[in-house]
Amino acid sequence: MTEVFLQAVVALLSPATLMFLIGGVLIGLVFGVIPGLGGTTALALLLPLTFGMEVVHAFAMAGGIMGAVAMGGSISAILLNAPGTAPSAATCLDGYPLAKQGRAAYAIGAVASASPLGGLFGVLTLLLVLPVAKEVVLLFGPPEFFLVAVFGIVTVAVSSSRNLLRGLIAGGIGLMLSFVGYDTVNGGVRFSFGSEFLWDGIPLIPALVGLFGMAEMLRLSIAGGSVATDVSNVNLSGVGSGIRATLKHWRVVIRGSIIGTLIGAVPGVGGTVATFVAYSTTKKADRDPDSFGSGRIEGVVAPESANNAKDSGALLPTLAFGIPGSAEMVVFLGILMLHGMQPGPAIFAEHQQDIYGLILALTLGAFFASIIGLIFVRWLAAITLVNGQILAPVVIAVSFVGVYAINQTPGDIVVAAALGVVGYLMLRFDYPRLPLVIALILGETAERGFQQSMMIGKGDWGIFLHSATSLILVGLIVLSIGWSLVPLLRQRGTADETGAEK
Amino acid sequence: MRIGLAAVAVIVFALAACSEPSEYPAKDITIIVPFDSGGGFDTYVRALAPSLEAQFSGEINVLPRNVPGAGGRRGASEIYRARPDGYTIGILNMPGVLIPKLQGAPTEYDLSRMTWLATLGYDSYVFVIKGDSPWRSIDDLKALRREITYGATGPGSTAFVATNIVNQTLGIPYSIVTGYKGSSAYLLGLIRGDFDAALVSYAGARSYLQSGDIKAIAIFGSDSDDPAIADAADLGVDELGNLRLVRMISAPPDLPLDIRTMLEQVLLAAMMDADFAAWLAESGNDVYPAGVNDTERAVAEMTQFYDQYKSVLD
Amino acid sequence: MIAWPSLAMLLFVLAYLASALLTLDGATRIVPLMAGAVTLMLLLIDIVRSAATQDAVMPVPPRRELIAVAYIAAAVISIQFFGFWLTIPIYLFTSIAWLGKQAFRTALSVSVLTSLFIYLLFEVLLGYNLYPGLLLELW
Repeated sequence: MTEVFLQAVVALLSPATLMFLIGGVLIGLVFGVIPGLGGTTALALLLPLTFGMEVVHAFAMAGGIMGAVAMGGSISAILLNAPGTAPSAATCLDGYPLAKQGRAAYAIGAVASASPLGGLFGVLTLLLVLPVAKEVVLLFGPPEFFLVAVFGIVTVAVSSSRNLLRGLIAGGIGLMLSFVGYDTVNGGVRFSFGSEFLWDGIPLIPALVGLFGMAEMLRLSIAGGSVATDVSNVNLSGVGSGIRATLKHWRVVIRGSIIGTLIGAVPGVGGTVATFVAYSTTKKADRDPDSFGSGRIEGVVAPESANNAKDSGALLPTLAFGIPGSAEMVVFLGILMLHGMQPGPAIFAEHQQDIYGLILALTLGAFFASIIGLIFVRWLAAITLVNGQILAPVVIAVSFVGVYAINQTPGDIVVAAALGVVGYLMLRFDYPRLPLVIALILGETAERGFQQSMMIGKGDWGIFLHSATSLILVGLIVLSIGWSLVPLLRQRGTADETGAEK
Repeated sequence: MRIGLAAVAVIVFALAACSEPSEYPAKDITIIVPFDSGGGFDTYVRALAPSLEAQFSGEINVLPRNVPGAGGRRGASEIYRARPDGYTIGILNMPGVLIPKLQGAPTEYDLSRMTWLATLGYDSYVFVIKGDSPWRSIDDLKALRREITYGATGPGSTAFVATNIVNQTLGIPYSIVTGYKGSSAYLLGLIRGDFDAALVSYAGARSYLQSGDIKAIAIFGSDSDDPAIADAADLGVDELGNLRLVRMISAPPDLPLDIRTMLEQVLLAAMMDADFAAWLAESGNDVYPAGVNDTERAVAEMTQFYDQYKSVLD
Repeated sequence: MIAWPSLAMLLFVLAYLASALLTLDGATRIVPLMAGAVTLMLLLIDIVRSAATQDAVMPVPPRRELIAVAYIAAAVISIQFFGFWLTIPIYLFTSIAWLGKQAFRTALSVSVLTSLFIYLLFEVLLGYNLYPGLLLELW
């Protein structure tokens, strides 16, 4: 096995292959930065072009794209609160406040070091687990999918400790929205009101771009000023300390990477959930969780590590069984098929060297992307100085086009704009958006997992406690709820005492 | 005055020349794929596209456009509603897009009015069970004298329909766990042991059969030389011999005959093209090309066939 | 005294539940109904609680908000009918010059440069056909 691995390394280091890799990195960065476009779109555009290419080159390019997209998405998440890609939305939460404080360079520095580290960690985990990949993937069936989805929703919902009730309401609304569209288990379309556009449900990326990006741009144009609230306080040279901050918080990096790889490996749950859960878990484990959301660097490091680790995680079911672990993987499988490779249990055995090549390209891609990002960091951070009245319309305009580019459906623009307004209102009236998003993503998986479990178990609820995996997941859910409720109850306790004194 | 007349004549002439219809094809042709990028259908079309372009000496681009959603229905409506000028065609999964109408659901397209161009090929249905399972034939399953559980994609999908038809025809008591997102998902469930058996397209099963994670005990839609795998004739249900997934290419209704004929010729030639054949060999896929007449007949036969099972599909 | 956002959400949840009860049946409506019911309860608790405590809301003049939202709505509608090429430059220019009250020259240059950037990136480099709008399509 090591022989094949080394052969893959040699193949990757040839000048032609490296060129394709760097080309992929550049494409990935651009697609990552522009809200609406993303890894999936980039790969989808790449797919037909790869037809004549050699496999090694196609994989190098794909790996470069996937590794770089995360960095690009994070840049716009930090600078504009407009996540360039769905998983980067979690980076907005503390990255954007940092930009507002004039510390965008610091945040970008942290991202630049967290991304490749997370990616590296994810790859190492992947290589370790690959021999038992099949068994690992087989651990997850409908009951486990349901429990993972519930875990994701619960973890995020209860992490909005400041306003738990509103967090839960937001989650509830997200769930309700997630059920719009075609019900795959029972057949039939729900809540579409005759519109064909809503058949597939509310499109996720336009929703995210609107909810985070456009909402923020709206706020900016209404409130005035620029992203950096105090222009005189902007530090364009904080990059170095940003890079070091990641290394200082190496525990956060590892936690984020593990969560990223694990959740990225569960098909259908995917990258966005991975970053959000990494964020929420880090927040809850911290001594001062309430300070998250106002510029804690750990709140950037955690999702960023997860963001790159998840790509390796997503490769696990993809390589083991040909089941795409994420939307990018779906397109990636297409590239495989176009080159005559049949995805399925046999694929790793048949094409070991090429697969290793891809994994290496992924890792190198993240590194190159970081380097390029660091080169331009001063210019990038300067965006926070631009007047909001100029910046906001530009970002909104580009977002409109980017969102349209995903599927050439004008309806997506309406969704983005509508959710932009909703997101702005949520900002104004202090409703957390995170639970809404996570519920929107996971609602379908949760429902499907539940209904299928009922069918398999013939209505026996015990099926959710049947396997070791499901027991562990139930335990995690209970832990997650308990962890957040304890400080709340303690608070209530002191309040009751003071109330009684009065 | 003379100059005026001459000018008018020139203008009239120019206008007449402009409004003369340019020779087809004069611009890029879009081929609609009713599934997402990266899927089996999508890859097939993308592999075929260069061979199609070669038929036009590379002057015209053939651009696949993904319109996913609702099991292929959205793509089918796009094709149906496009302008019948030969610049929009599409690939359809049959009987996938046929089923909603039989289930009594409103559809935005009428398959009997579609302009059928060609058939790319078909895929048989394999009846599979877990690789290490002790059963060897459908009779073994029947002998269990209990309900057999299956996994399938959503109601309205071809796998679901096929499972219903096969079990009803063979008289096996059954139930289906529905809603899986794709054949790999329910094959995984099968390997996990979440249910007893499944029906899956041969293309979807091939890799799993190779690795031994699953094994086939019957096949529908083609004949079987393997004594371990029964086909429709072996099971005594000849009527199920045509149960298969077909990929057909169609265009919007009322396409002018000359354009239709040209497209048919181009498609058939592309399917026989050497480069496409090379891809087929490498990826283990097959093509069974058929032209307009055969395709139209197949559509009529399929409609009739599945119509019989309307009660099953509800 | 219910804050209007809570009222809007209440209406939304009620409409959702009504729609589920009227248009769906059987297994397909169980989970949406449960989600809607739980959200309804949580909403009611929230409304009661905030009615009791008098939540203070930062007073930003609603007129500015309505105008900003109206701008976006107008842009979206314009894209639907007139497509991107007409809408984007006009939207940019009017937003920066009128809404943002910036200098005429700044507005003009930014609009032109951004439109050019969008054109180069999407149409030229990536080969997309940006939406021409319903009216132009019919033509």
